[in-house]
Amino acid sequence: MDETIVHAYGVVAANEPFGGFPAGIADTRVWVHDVEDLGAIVGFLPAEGFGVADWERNAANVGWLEPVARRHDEILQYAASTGDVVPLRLPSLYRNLESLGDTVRAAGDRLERALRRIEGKLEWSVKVYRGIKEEDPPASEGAVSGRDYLLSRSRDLSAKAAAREQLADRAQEIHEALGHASAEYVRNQPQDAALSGRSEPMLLNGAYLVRRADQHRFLQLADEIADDARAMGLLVEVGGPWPTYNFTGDVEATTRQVIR
Amino acid sequence: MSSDASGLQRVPAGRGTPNLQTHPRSDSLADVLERVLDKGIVIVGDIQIRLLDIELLTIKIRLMVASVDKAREMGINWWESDEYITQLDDAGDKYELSELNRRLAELEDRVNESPQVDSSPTNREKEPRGRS
Repeated sequence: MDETIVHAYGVVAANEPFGGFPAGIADTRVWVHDVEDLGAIVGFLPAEGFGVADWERNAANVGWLEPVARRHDEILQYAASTGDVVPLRLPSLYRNLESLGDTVRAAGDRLERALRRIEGKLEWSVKVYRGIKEEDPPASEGAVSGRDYLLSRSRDLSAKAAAREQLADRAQEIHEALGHASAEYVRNQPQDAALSGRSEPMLLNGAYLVRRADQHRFLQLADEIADDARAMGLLVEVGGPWPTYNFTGDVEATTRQVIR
Repeated sequence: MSSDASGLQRVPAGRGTPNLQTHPRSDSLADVLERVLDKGIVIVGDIQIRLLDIELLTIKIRLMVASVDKAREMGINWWESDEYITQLDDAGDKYELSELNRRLAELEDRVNESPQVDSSPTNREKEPRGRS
């Protein structure tokens, strides 16, 4: 390998038993680089292929982005199965280990705060879809007057709108019920159908920060909720556990610095 | 994606959690990108691109991946000639800074003016519920 850059995946507390990572982005080795009381999960990447210019060039290229994003996530998944890890966001490039170390030191307080926030917890995602297609009102039998037809049509449409509202309310109730079984929870924008790969409309895209010890309870609750919701025509999908992506990002805005 | 006997569709995504069923992981690309690009923490300090550009780049990536399939279907490919992505150059940066400075100056002017605005009788009449 010629010139390299450092890719950082996440941050953990130093001297924790993290190790034995699977191969990282571009099948490179991944390890924990200690920086005082913290450890950065890092790997070297070839500068040619993963540098700034490559990010710029490939920003719109899902074919390039997908394996990078998936490997980044897989390493974090692996770390999260061992202990607490603060996930870092892409792109996450550093010139070398020294510059990464400086950065981690400078952000030390913030990272330690983030670690405390997620201590002993993992993230779960719960999505709710409207599962059944709205049925068009059956054509009236026999001949009806135009007036009757319009009246019944308008009744059908308002019934449809009311049903939609009811389902949206139910999705919010589900979010809050799961939230009560979580340490923190957040509602994200529903995903675009093109990326979610689901034709059903997404009514809830929630993320829940759950204590590791409470995961079973959380899933049982989700299971019960899913059963109830199905009767209303809602599909509930649970994903996880995830690294705590949704619960470590909010502190960044206050301390970002521009270094030119 | 699997469905168990109950109404719950479950997509376990990790290892080492004995309470969970261990189906093969099948997170959608949307789930991964949503988290990896938009969430998590940023400790940018010595990164090689300017920070403003990174933010833009990240946001642009997210916007694009959210709709890229659909857009391509429709023959839209604006991002391929988008200035934020193709021209992360100094000129753009300077323009942005001067634009920000201009807006800041404008806001400061407004703040400095505001006491006069409040004490003006005509304005008070116009905005009876304004600060006094």
